[in-house]
Amino acid sequence: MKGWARILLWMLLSSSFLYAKSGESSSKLIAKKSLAIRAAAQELVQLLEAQSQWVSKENQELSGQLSGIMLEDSTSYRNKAKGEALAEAWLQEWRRLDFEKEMLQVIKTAQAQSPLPLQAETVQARMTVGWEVQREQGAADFSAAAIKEVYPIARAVAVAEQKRYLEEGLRYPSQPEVDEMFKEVDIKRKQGPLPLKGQDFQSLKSKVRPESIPVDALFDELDQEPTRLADAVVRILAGQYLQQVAAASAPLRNEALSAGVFTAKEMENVMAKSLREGLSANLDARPPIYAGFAIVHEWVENAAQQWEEDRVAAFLKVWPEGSLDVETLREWMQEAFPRHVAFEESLALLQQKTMGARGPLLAAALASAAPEARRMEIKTYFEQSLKTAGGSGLVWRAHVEAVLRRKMPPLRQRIAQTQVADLFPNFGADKPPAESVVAWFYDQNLKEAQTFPQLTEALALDPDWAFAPDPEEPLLAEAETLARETLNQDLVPALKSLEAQLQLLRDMEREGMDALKTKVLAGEKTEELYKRWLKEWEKRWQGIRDQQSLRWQARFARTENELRKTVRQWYETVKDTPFPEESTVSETASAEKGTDIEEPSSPEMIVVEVPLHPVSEPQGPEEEVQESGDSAAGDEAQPGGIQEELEEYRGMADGILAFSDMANGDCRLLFGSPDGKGVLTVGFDPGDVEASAQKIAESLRGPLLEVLNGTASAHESKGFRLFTKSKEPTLSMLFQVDSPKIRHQMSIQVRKMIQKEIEAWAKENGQKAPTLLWQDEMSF
Amino acid sequence: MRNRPDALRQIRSIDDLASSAPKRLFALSPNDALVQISLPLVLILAIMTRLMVIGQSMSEQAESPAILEMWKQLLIYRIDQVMNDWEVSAELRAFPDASRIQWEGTLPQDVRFQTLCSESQTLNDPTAFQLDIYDQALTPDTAKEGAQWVLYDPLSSVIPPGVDTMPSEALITAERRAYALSHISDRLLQWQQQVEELQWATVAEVAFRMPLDAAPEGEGASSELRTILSELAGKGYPFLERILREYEVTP
Repeated sequence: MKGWARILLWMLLSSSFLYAKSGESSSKLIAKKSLAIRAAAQELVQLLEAQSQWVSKENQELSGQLSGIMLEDSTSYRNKAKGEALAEAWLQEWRRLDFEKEMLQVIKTAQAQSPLPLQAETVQARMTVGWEVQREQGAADFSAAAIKEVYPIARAVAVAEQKRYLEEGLRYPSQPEVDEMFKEVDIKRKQGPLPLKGQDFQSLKSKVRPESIPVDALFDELDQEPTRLADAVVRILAGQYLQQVAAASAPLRNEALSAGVFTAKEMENVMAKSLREGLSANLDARPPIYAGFAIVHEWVENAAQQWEEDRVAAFLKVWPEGSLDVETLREWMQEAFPRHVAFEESLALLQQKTMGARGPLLAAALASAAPEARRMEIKTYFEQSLKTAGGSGLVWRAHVEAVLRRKMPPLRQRIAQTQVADLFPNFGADKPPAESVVAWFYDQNLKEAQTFPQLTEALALDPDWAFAPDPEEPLLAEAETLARETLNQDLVPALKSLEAQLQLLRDMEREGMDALKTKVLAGEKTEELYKRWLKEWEKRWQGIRDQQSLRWQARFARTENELRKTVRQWYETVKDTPFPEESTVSETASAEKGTDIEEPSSPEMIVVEVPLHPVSEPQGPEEEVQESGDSAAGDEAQPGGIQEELEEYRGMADGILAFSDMANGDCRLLFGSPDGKGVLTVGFDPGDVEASAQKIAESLRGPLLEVLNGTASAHESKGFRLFTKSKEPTLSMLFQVDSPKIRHQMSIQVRKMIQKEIEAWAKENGQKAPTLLWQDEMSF
Repeated sequence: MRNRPDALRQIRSIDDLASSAPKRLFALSPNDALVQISLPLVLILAIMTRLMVIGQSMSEQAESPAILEMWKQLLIYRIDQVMNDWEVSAELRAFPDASRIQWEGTLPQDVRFQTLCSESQTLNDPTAFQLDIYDQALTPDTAKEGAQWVLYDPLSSVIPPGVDTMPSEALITAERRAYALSHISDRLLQWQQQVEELQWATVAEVAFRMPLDAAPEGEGASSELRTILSELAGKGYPFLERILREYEVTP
């Protein structure tokens, strides 16, 4: 009942109120409401139809709004293409909101026209079915049509506006900031008193970049704008710097402005005044006009100093007393000759002497152009200035040094020639140095006398050339060089000839093994073989003799000794080395051809060397293995024998490979186990690693088997000594090297060989091959 | 003992405070206040207003002469006769309300409403229509009423025969004329309101029924009204000028 009562009351009140207010009939009110609804709906339908239509006259308003949006969110609109997509979406939304606004206005108008309450939904329902979809589609069509016209203009406006922000936001550095920046540039440049150039300021661009807009918020079109603005600022700074420099340097270019100026300090004052007068600073202007930069003031100081230095340098060029005569220099040198041996030391002494003697004269000469009243003052100034390490003093010092460097070499060369002539009269007599001198250089593996001590040491071997320098008048460095060069004129061809002779000998060694073997087997004696080889050498030497200096075409005694030694070594080796039967036949056949020296017939016969006095020499292939122990036994008889030597390695390895030097330059290998099994010594040429390794391999085969058998039995009974921790059978080998001639390659070759022998031994005995534990030790 | 009631009240207040029970100052809810107070009050006001109107009417009747004069009776009778005839001929009586109008599609399809609309055009000039009715009422029908029932208004264009011999009772003076015209005017006003009501209802219905124009001639309700009235007029339903000029702003 209460609800009904309320509704009744409301109806009564509202109807009476409305009727009283309007005084119109209800039909009229309803009709006017219907008309308002219809009119609004009619208008909204037209709006909907116009929703998709793009009218160019709206371009200005829309592009203005859009440019504002772009500026507010420039990060999103930075890229042009991406920005266009965003702008299209914005246009669509704008159109939709515009329709909403228009619709609201229309509805408001309708509500105003309607005397009865009118709901927006009533108008929208009267409009059309699906008007929301039509509105969205219309907005999309509108956006697609408008974007091509609106976006370019909006973007251009936004870009222009952002560019304006950038320019307005550009902050010119303050005077102290500019001074600091210029100081860094000046420090980096390090070009002395020359003023900075335009390109020197390029590094400032990063310091003056506009910061009013973050870089990532700049439109793509303005990517280079900060750089351009920075360039402009830097150009302004550089331009003002150059203007200041030009103003300050006016006295340097205009002699009238620098009249009466004699010192750097005076010039600095004149330049500073010129700079002040040429400036009209205004730091509030845009761009500001700066006051004198700090580096310009510094440059003024440097330029004034440079002006004085240039003035002094120019004066020195025409100052007759600046030139030094040679005799004076010689006299100064004689005063303390031992201190003038080295050129640079002599130069420093003479420079000091010259500056002390001529400095006051120069100061007086420089002051001579000054007015009488100031002459003494200027002279005193330059006397002090010329003594300093910088400024005019530096110029003066450099001038003296240049003069001395020009005049000292001829003087010192003359002195050196005199010294050499006095100390080495043989040079003048055209007497060649003795062969002992040449051999000394050859043994030192020198192609010439490279230092004076080498010369001294070598010539001491020849009594005719020995000399003793006077300690009161030591040789100049130039004299030592001259002596060396004079000696080398003879020494170099002599060394070349000796090298050629010994090379011939080496060639014969390489090629004559087969013939020699045949001769040895045929029973030829060593002396006969030597003669045959000497004859062959002479024959070969004749072929290349003319290529040598006339003075050094004779056979050196060293060559003859080497030939004899080589033949003997070959002889001993061949005599003690067994040869296969067929090889002997072959070699015999070769020998029957009547050729003294033949090409090697097999690779293994290329180089086989044995020591001149081998410690132990196997007598033949059949006896080698069994006689290994004999040779060891033989050594044992000697003091400090092989067995004793091997004993030293007890506990260190199962097998020892000890290398040491021999008296004849070859090397010796001592092999065996510390307890005396498989003892062997063999000599070899350490220079030929492969051949020596081959030789060692052949010699070691028997003793190695002995060591292997002994080690295996020891392992069965009580295990290995050093590496018994491993359950696997092992064989440890110590590669002890006491000779610098043994190369690491030798260790590798021998190790490979022993590994191969171990595997063969294991296969033959049906045992597992012990692991080879290899240890290299060098004690030289 | 004299203070016992006050003491009891105070004790009750203390009890209320002790039990934290809020004291209800208003027993009625807003809804109850509306129903129990406002509604009777409004009804009382309405009844009072009606009683005052009735009282005033009765007072006026008490002041009027109890018996009408001859001229008045005759003239009013004739005027009512004329106006009744017009009501019948104009089909006004056929449309006590808009629901009687016959519709087809978006527009009315009703001959009687066409007649009413056409005949109602006379209401656009109520003064002329008033004088016309007045003149018709003065026109004597001697064949039906006899010669003694002739009325004469010197200001009217109707001049009955025998004016010179006509008694003063038959002469319509200015005062009598004003009374007669007022009587006509009152009834014309009722007609006008009834016709407007009908036509506004028709406008509302047409505005609802008629599809929206793809290209309307103007904007706003006035334009829509013009369009609808033009459409109706084209179909033979001329509406009153007051409706036509509804949205016109009076200078």
